[in-house]
Amino acid sequence: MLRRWPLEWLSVAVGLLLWQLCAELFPSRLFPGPLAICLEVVRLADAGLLLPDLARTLVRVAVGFVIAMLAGTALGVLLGRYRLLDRLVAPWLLFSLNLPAIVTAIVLYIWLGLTEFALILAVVVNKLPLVVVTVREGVRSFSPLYDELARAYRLSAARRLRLVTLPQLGPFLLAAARTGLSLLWKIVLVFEVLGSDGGVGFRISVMFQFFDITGILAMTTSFVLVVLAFDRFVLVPLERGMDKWRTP
Amino acid sequence: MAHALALALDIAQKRFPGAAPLFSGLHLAVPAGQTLAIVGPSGVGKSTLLRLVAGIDTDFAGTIRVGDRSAANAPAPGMVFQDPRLLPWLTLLANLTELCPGLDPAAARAVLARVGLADAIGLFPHQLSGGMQRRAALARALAISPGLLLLDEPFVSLDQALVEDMRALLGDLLLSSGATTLLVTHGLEDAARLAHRVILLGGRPAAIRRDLQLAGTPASRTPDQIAGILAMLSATD
Repeated sequence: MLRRWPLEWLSVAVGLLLWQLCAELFPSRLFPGPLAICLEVVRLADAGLLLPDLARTLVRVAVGFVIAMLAGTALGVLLGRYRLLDRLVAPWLLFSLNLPAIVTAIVLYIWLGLTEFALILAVVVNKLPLVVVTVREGVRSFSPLYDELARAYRLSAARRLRLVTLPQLGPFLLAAARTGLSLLWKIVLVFEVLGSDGGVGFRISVMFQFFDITGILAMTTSFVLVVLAFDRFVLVPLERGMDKWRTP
Repeated sequence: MAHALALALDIAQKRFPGAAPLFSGLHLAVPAGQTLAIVGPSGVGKSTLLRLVAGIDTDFAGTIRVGDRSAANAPAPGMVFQDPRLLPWLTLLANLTELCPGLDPAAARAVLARVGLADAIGLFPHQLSGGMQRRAALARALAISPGLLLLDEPFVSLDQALVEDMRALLGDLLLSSGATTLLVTHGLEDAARLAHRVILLGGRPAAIRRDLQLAGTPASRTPDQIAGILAMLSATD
């Protein structure tokens, strides 16, 4: 792990350096270097334009993420357990997996108006099928042997959930969370561009009107950094905790 | 030591979908404290019988009484499956304390020490050898101080030296536990050394072909007695 770090950082540093060199060699308002973007992040933050938009988008992502994970997990467990229900829902699941995100947003905005509720609902509708499918596959992979063990030792439902179900489901939940999160924040930004009165996506759409590419990349970089921080400081430790028993 | 529980099996019929009945009119009574070895060819239904008695499989016609309750409602038996079936995400100690509510860590440590695993309590199952995992499974079964012990081929896939160690250990543990025990085994020697009584299952539906009360007690049997029992069992097998 420690050995991998310098190489990763070296790759990032070289990439940024090359980018900066290119920006210096071909100076253009439409091709800012990383240094200009960093300065723009600081300027936007100083001007009080960055944090409110960042916060609004983060709240939308968080709410959509939590609802989609909870509902998707519950539905995924049911579909994994009950074959008949799975067969009934499967065509709709397949349809929703292939439904373009932008269409969901447009339809919901038309039906419900340009509201916060419509935006969050569109996010959930887009994210939910992915969670359902991942969790369903997780439940299908459960070992019946541990269920038998739980029955023999008369484990209560709560103990069975904690000792048998969640440890087997954990890796699938984490996979759903990680893949889902990376998709989700992109979807939120698109929906904010399409119809919202604030948030990173909204700010980017305003900047787009002025071809303010430095501002666009500054907003995007800030948000990516927040998502990466969440991954590094929340999801990675969770994964390590879950995998502790696998390490030799 | 828990109060040993008597068993009364009256299985009118047990069948799996699309197959001939596995059991039909199977009756068996096991007095409290007795160790009964169940011997028979593969596929005859020995493990299924244990699962019925454990209350894991309730899909059959008839009744199984464990003490004064039905098998499914009886207290948890001490169950050892054919595989160790330890929960891989729990340490050895947690495999005992979590699966046996009310068992305090000190008692769990003591049980693990009895099976020679005192130094392994913080390890995960994949860090243990096959023999250690088997002993851990046995410790877990004993940790709940069961009135009924169900052992499904506890020595399967172990090498001969390990089988002899495990057999000696199990003999000591059964003696001190006093629980009623059903021991499913392919090994006639296991039956001769550990059981008070042996039944031989055979046919389809499976029936009790022989029901043999063995001489003496497992702890007091001399090598000559064991050899005699083995000869008798081999002749009837």
